[in-house]
Amino acid sequence: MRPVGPRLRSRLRLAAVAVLPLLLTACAQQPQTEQGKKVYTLYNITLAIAVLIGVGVISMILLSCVRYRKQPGDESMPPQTHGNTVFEVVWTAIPTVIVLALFGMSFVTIRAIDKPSGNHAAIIEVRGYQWSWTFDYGTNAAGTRVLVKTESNRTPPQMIVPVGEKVHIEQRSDNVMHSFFVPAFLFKRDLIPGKANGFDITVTSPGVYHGQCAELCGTDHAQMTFSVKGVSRAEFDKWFNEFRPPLPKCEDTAKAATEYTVTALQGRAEWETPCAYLKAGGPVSLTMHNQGGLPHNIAVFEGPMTENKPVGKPGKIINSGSDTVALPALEAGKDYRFYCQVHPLMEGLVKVSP
Amino acid sequence: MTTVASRPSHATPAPKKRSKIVDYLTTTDHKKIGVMYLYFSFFAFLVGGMLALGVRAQLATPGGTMIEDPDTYNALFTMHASAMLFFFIIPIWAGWGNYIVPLQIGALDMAYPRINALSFWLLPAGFVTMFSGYLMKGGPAQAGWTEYPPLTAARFMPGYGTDLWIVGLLLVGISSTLGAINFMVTIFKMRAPGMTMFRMPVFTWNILVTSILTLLALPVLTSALIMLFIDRNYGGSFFDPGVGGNAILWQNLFWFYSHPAVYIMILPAFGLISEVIPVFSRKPLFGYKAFVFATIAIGGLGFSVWAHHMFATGQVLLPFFALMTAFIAVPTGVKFFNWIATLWQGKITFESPMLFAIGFLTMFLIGGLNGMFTASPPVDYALHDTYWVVAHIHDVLFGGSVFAVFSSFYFWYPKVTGRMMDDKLGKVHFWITFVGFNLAFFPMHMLGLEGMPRRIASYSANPQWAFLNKISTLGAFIIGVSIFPFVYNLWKSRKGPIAGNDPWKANSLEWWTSSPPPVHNFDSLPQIRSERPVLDERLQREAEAALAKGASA
Repeated sequence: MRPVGPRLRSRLRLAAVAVLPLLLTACAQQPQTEQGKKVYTLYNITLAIAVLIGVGVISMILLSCVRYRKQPGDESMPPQTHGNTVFEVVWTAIPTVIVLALFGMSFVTIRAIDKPSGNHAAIIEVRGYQWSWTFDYGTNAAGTRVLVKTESNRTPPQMIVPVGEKVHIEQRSDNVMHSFFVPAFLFKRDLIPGKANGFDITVTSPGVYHGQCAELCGTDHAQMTFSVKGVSRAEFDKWFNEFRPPLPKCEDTAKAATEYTVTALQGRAEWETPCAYLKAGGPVSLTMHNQGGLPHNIAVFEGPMTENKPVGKPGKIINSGSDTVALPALEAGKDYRFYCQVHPLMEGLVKVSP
Repeated sequence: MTTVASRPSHATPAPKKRSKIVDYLTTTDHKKIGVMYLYFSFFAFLVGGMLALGVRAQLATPGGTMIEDPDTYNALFTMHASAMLFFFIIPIWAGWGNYIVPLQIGALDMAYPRINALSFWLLPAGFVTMFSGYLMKGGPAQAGWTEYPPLTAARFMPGYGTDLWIVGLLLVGISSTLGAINFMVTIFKMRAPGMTMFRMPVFTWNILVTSILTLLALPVLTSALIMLFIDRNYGGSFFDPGVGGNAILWQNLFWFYSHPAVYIMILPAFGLISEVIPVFSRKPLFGYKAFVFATIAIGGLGFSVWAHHMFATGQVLLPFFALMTAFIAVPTGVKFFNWIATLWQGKITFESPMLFAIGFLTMFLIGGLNGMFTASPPVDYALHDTYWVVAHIHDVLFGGSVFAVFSSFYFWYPKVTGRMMDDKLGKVHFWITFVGFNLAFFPMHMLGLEGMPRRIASYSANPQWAFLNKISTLGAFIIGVSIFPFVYNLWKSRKGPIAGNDPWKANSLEWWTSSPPPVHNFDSLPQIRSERPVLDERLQREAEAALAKGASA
């Protein structure tokens, strides 16, 4: 056996430098929920074991490469070792023990995170659409439906939760798969069409946390962001009770007509302008022009689509081109809205003037 | 004593160009088919690589300004993965399997030569079908290589791209199935006298296990693809919940094939590494039988872990799949120990094949270790569908399979062409690849921890991710550059030094015959008394020569 040379030592040091970034990654995301903290602990334990194994194995590889490299002129055969039962049993046992230990810890953590519990400060129904979210808190004391969504499809929606209290998230999707992912919570769960899904979170500190869809859901998947804001209980109650649903802003001064055309933008789940201006008192018609790239239709409702009070018949779903719906006489002052039923977040207002 | 009949040089007069083309188009020779597989899959590697550079160029800036239309970007990464997985990694091992397996077991050819040709020709057909999506209105498939419904239902993904992807993959599936049957029959029935199962080279063993995996798992994917095609075109309702289907069903069926497919991509690489390390350490593979059993164990366990791709759905039995996934680490760990024990006390030389094999050991190790994290469901909740997973698959498939592919080219090129590759250029290729690989994929771990999801065309809301992404993009382009010395080396070495039968002083039968081998593969075979027949003969010859020298002295 030759002593470990300086060249080897410098190589080992190199190996240590190579794993440094891995160690740094431990500080990448600080968990902001109780559940996330458990994941974080498990992550760090796994990291420690992985680094230990990694450094050990890479050192062994480099050590053998350095120590047992062929010396010039040495043409003799090395010892022809075919195996060693004791060693082989030992190194089958070692990884078995390690993976069983890690599995045990994962099992305990799964139980702690996914344990169902009935005590929730709020139950929020999260719905995924192409390509945004709605957060539905139910009805507040004033009788207003607390439903958070994007305003004219621009600002990502924000979920408000009370800090330090367990909140239940129910997940639904009527279209494609999505995944509710907040990196700072070290958690994600998929929204699966046709299947209710859900989980609990307890946000531990106030702040705004970035979230976004983590399951490819089509064209604007990357734009499907949201945020979660942790606030105090008092602040949460105030927000919840004073909630007013935002509506698109349409100017009343525009000229009303008996026919009006709205445009669905090329390849986007978005109206060019979410406003239609129609005359009151007589039959009118509303035309959708679909620039193409996505299937859309147009349907008019009184109030939000969720209240399901249709006005006239809904239009056909078309991939491009125009489709017109005939509407009965509209009354000025009533809350009419138009939607694409394929993309329920494509909401627009029908302004009716005499 | 067995001797090698000295053969006349088979530098047959150069055939006319056209006749050579016709020869390849109509051949049923496993070696020529193998070479066509290699050419084709290397071409797919270049195509997939260009698409990857497009992906990386887009992600170099948060706004992703290079590609305006996100659909174009979605198609890029979908087709990148499809080209790399289905047309590069899987077929390139089928190519080496074709060329090498009959030679390693002392057979004349594959069992079914014409089916063998059909297996190959289905591949370019599948490739053309899948990639003709680029000529269609709406572009090619763009729902990721996993093609999860209901996103792939016709109402969300109109156009022919997805249908062409399905049909293309079906053709690949038929190719793989026929190939798997062919390998199994060849290996079970056509071994030379004395070549018992436990004297087979490990590469052949791994091709055998891979073929069994393919044969058992692929029918499930084939059924799923047909069901998806029916859903899209004939009003079926298998997977779209909007019409009464079950979206999770696709994921179960898809991963029931596609997880074993990971082993279909890596087991032949393990086999190759287990050929190269003993040769360049001048030792037998440590624990040959344990190694074979570990391969079989990985293949078997591979069927019970598919749902670890679905932890985040919350719809699978977490403890079962977590435990099974954890167990896969045991046979893989055994392999690592065996490789290191083979190096230990060896007389190691570092020619290009060995350099890439050592690269494989260190890089694949990282891919194994970061897999430990996602094997734990709670940690996977954080890391699933982030760039951590992208790092993991590339550590395993690039750091693993691709390093082994490069090693295999340097190792077997002399056998195929009769010429040595330039070793210096090979080392240049290795170091550029090694640096590029680490720059491209290591930062992705950190991006994943910071929460960057995969498959996003831009990240304007998180400009802090730009720095690591730029490093990754730089690394990807360095990998791109690394291809040039390799391709140049392949081309210039056609006139390299004559290799002779056995330039590496290797162990298995392919080194017994001439380089390149004659049409009928062997003029003679040595006695096969161990898993290293060529070494046994060499040692015997040396001993006899020494004896003769002693006697004459």
